Amino acid sequence: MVAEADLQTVDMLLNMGPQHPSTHGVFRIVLTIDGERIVDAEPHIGYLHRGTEKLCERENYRQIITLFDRLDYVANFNNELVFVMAAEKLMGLEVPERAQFIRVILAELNRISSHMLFYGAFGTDIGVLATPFMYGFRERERIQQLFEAVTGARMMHSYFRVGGVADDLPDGFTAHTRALLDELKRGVQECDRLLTYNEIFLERTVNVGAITGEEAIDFGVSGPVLRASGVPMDVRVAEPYLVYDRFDYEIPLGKNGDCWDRFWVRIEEMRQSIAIVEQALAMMPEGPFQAPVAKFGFVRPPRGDTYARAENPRGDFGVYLVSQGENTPYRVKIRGPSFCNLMALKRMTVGHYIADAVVILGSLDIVLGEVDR
Amino acid sequence: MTWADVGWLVLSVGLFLGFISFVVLFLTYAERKFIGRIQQRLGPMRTGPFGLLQPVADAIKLLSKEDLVPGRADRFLFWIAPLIVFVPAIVIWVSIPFTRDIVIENLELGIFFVLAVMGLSIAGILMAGWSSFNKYAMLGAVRAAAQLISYELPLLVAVLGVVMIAGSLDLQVIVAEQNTVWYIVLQPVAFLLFFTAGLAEVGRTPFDIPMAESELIGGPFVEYSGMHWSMFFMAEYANTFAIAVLTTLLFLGGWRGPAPATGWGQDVMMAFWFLTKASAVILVIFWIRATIPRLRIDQLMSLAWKVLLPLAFANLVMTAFYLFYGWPDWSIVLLSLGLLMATVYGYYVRRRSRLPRPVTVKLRVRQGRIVG
Amino acid sequence: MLPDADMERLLREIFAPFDAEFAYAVDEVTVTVPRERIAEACRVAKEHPRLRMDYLRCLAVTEYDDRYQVVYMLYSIALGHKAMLKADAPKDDPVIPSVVSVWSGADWHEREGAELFGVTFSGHPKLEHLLLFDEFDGKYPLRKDYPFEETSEWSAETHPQWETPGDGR
Repeated sequence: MVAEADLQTVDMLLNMGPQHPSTHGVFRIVLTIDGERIVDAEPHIGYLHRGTEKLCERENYRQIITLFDRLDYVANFNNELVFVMAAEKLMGLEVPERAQFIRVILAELNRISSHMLFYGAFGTDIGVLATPFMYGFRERERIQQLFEAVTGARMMHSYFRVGGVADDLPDGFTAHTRALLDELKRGVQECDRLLTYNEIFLERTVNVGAITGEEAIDFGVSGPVLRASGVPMDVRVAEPYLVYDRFDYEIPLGKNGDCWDRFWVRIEEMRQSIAIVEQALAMMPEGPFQAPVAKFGFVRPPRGDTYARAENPRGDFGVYLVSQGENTPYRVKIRGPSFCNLMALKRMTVGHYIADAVVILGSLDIVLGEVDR
Repeated sequence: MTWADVGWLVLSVGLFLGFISFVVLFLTYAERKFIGRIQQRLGPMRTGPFGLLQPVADAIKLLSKEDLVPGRADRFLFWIAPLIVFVPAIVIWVSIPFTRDIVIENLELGIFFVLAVMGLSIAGILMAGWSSFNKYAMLGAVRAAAQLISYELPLLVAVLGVVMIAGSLDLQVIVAEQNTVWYIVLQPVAFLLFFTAGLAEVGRTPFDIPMAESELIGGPFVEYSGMHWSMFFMAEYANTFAIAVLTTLLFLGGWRGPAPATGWGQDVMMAFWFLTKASAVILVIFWIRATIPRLRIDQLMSLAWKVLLPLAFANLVMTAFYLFYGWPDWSIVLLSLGLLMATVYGYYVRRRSRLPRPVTVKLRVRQGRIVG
Repeated sequence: MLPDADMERLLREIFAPFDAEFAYAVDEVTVTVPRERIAEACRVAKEHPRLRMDYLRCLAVTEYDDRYQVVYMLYSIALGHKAMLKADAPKDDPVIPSVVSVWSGADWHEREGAELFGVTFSGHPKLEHLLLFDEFDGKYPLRKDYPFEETSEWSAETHPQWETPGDGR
């Protein structure tokens, strides 16, 4: 017989990624595990680093919009929005009201489609064979068809311009979108009922990866992840931009900050986005869809710096823009919400099981395009 | 043993192997079609009418793929592990009767033999995980070992109840004893336990923890490719079919239809009813796979040891009293239902204590200002 | 949320002992603090009861002709107001105190600034490569003198350490 004290156990290093089905791209995390339990987690990022910030210093303002499409590639409109907002802020440009409503509608629809992607990916992470994935993608497809009708592209739209949008909405947009919203309501309801209160789903998500509000703020976490921890922080309300101060909606807040709360917050946010789009459709005025500057493309902000931010599906997306009065920015710093949310991953995963690490990563809903930039 | 016996044996084994291979191929097709429908898509449609040739195309693809062996793998174990998993999955069919007459070699210890041989495959899975020289495979193999050994117990104890009532381990006798009432009525608890533990035994969702595509990327089989991988795959489907067939034999009256089959063509009728019931069970397994998330390893173990095993023993003791004192049939039905209701009640109490609904709040925003 | 003028007055009052300069970045007040006192200033901004800037929106490094500037965009979730802190480091000595001890969320921003601009954040617990790979040749890509067009071929000659014997792992 060997006494228990003589037995030595060794922690094992487990490398997850960059090629791993659950890392949502090319993310890598090195887990130190004791059996199935995670002792330490070390995230490694940068596999998708394309030097967007450097490229921005060479391209002119109109070209940069295409680069922003490729950051958070499931919420393209929201990214474009932040960049054009930063430039408009620096120029002191007044955007026509119709353009602002168009932006709100597209950004909120994009939020729904992004959360639908989260829903599908999260279901797969948690181990359902692709059914949530198909449900989520069915709804996402409907939204993308609308986007295609508006912009001509399914993903990389390049539709927003400094001073407005590239083109007016197509004929029948309002009627089509109303019909789409009805379908989306049903779709969200179906998705909700498939997973949210499933017993095994609760087992896997409740009290997993919990983080308190204070810790979340300390890590700079934002978006649904922060609100799941009970912090009432939504840029749409905190620093209203566009015409967000004209709508009535609700901000869902979690309490425990665990994976279930994050999931629930996103499901509710989809409903609220539908409500916002409905109101925006009803309130949308006629008129020009871009300021003259957008038409001719002479964007040359004055010397200075500014920071613009907006509530993206993943959280607080910010752009720090420095201009020296030329037609290219002097410096663009992009604050991707996934980048900051990912910093808290280590704090969330340590002490949980390997299977939980996958669920927690899924609940953060990262997009590597904006983490690595 | 005469030459005729040997010839019969070879012929029947060949027929059964062919049949099982066909069933496995068809199951892969049926699963993809059925789950496709659940997910609002068509499933395979391109190969042949309704995609019926998809399994053949898959088989050809797998056969023609390179059989990779990791550089530092233990080559012998790596090579032999799929066989050790595959052979028991086929051998059990020797003693599983399809109708009263269609069986290769009916054994008096039928169910005992089947479950014992099924349990062998764990050795192969452990070998596969160990020899692959891959941490994911190793973790998967350890998970598989823990899971299979834990779930053998409730599985066996649940079967014991049936065996006690039938008074035999012979599957033919067990089916024959169900001529008045199916054992799902007399042993509902055992039925649920057997089905649940059976799912875990063959590693189907929600118990596909050793494979766990989203965590361990296929677990013990992560390094396998081509023919070796397809042997694991076929073994999994053969075992799934075996669990469905055993559920049918033990609880659903086997090949008994609504009317007793007699005369010419009775075997065809019996086989029809048998396969219909087994298919229904299979479809339930597929349905579960498409809609239910995966458990975590610790939850899996606590389910086995804290819920299933106590229930199995309670059922066993109940059945023993019923048989020993010769109570009427309805008493065991009532007792079983009581046990089930107590379980469901316990589940609801636990669920209500964990349900996160009341702790979430919403802030109302009116005109851009938080008001509530 | 305070109007800009009130915010400026408040910041002038609080950061008076810091020898700070005040300016505007469109809609928010910027406070430029000498670099050796930036960590201290950040702590004051976070803990002062009338500021409570507990949320680090962003941390950006910018290269100007004569200096590196680190910008801390702060936001107070409780009070809803915002400000920017700035600190300059000269080009020949790009060292700035780290603020990871104030906000954990500054961690990766600082690592990124260090590897892309070559600014050393002194006191940072782990100033390693974040976005770039470990074998990167040590230049700083986001500096203005880093060439845009110049590309180099990666091969076994330039990076012999990448040629690993095929043991499969």
